[in-house]
Amino acid sequence: MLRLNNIHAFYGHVHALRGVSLEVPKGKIISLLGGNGAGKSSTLNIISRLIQPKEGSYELEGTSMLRKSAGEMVKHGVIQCPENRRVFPLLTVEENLKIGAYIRKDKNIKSDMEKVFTYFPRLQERLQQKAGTLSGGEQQMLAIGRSLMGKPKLLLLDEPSLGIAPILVREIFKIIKEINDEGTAILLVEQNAHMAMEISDYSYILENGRVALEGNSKDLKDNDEVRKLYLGA
Amino acid sequence: MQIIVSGLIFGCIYGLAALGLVLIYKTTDLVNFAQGEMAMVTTFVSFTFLSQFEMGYTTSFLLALLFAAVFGAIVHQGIMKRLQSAPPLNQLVVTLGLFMVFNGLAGLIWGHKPAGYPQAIKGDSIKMGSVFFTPNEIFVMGITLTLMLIFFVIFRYTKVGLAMRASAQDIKASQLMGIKVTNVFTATWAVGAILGGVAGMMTAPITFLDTHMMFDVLIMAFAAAVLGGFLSLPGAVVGGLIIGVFENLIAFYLSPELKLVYTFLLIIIVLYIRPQGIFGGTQSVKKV
Ligand SMILES: Nc1ncnc2c1ncn2[C@@H]1O[C@H](COP(=O)(O)OP(=O)(O)OP(=O)(O)O)[C@@H](O)[C@H]1O
Ligand SMILES: [Mg+2]
Repeated sequence: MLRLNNIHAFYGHVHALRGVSLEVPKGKIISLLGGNGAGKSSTLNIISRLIQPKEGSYELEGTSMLRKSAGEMVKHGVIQCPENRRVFPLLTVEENLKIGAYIRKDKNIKSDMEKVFTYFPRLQERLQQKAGTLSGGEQQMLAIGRSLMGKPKLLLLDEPSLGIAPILVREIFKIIKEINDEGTAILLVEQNAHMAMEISDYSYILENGRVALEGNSKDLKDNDEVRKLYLGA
Repeated sequence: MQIIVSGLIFGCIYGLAALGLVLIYKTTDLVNFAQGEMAMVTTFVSFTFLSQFEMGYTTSFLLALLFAAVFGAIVHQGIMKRLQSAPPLNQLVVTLGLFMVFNGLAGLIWGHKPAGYPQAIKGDSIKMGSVFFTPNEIFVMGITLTLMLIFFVIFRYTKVGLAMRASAQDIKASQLMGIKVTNVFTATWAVGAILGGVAGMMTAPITFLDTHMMFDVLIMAFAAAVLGGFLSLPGAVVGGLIIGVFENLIAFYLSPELKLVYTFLLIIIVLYIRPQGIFGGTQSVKKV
């Protein structure tokens, strides 16, 4: 459904993306891996239309997105759950979820919130609490829940395991899989390559703004180079 | 009692101006020093409608508010938008610069001679208990409370208000929700300018219309906003009322010259006891 081809992006003089090409097919989980500064978040921000590429093409379901605004991407169902969660600290949990549905005009917002609570019951208990006072793990749940409120067709997750205890990471990955099972395609950015390859169908590994390696996650996991560099084996 | 009541009228004006300051600060995280001068320009524009085009008060008032909205939007779109990601201090200096520019331009266009400015409503005082109210004073109080209530409700309970609060906290995350942050900010500037404009048109009948008319009001509005916690809309109005009354009492019982000194003494004392302001929760200690 989504296709990036030869994307180049700059921050001032910094050449952050040097020809990234990738594809996210309908209904799949694709992981985007790589070390610090490899260009993972930049790639998601290209997709969300927060930054404009210097070169390259970007298509969603066959149409170029390069003239769309960030808001239009949200309306197209391409929704990013950003790095470091970025929940609105002074809004309550409920308000954070409501603002996730900001662009929607349909009547199902209430029932979708119920849906979010089945994934993350803890959010329901803390509905009136200010998001800034939630624990890191709870904030991550809220950030994902907030993205779900926008009814994503393609969910872009930027390091959902960042700074979270291993048990909770496992739970969150289970929920990511469930969300995918209901038909939402997912582009998962992770430093935790092991877990990401476990649940994804296909993986891209970025290095210095380029795709250094790609392949079926199953195959990549057994690749010696990958094991040495990214899986710490 | 009469002194308290006339203090309340000034308090309403400070409160209105403070409301505009707080609204812009809450949403765009920026203190707008040019607020008072934008209000002054709006008041001059209304006076032009009144005196040169000989329109009625209501028409002039409404047209001036329309002007204020466009004025505020242009200042944001044309100037402040480009500074959105600049350091706060730079933004602040720019609003100070705008203060000077608007003041100078107004002097060039309308001259420096003070002119009389009509009240919103004429009519004899009405006696309530032992105090006298002029219909104009009742109008000033009514409009202040109404505007405060409207913006409080919008901010707290509507989708637009939610978008405003979200934009204030995290621009990038707001964009990812599909909020058009720049438009939200522009609208806030427009509304802030309207509130200032109302304050200006309420001030002019009392102080005469001239390019310096909003200096004191702006200082008092700042004081009111700080007293109210700088993030609370009702706080801004309550802060304004407290300052208006206090100032009037000092002017009457002690000396009119010292009212500014005593008013700031009061603010220092209040802030010493409650550093976050009367209505400021912990939220006023925002990110630095
Ligand atoms: N706003 C910015 N201004 C300047 N340079 C930036 C900016 N954002 C990212 N960069 C640079 O672009 C490169 C890619 O950054 P990006 O955030 O995409 O990496 P990442 O793969 O997400 O890293 P991490 O895993 O640490 O989040 C880095 O060299 C970074 O320094
Ligand atoms: Mg990143």
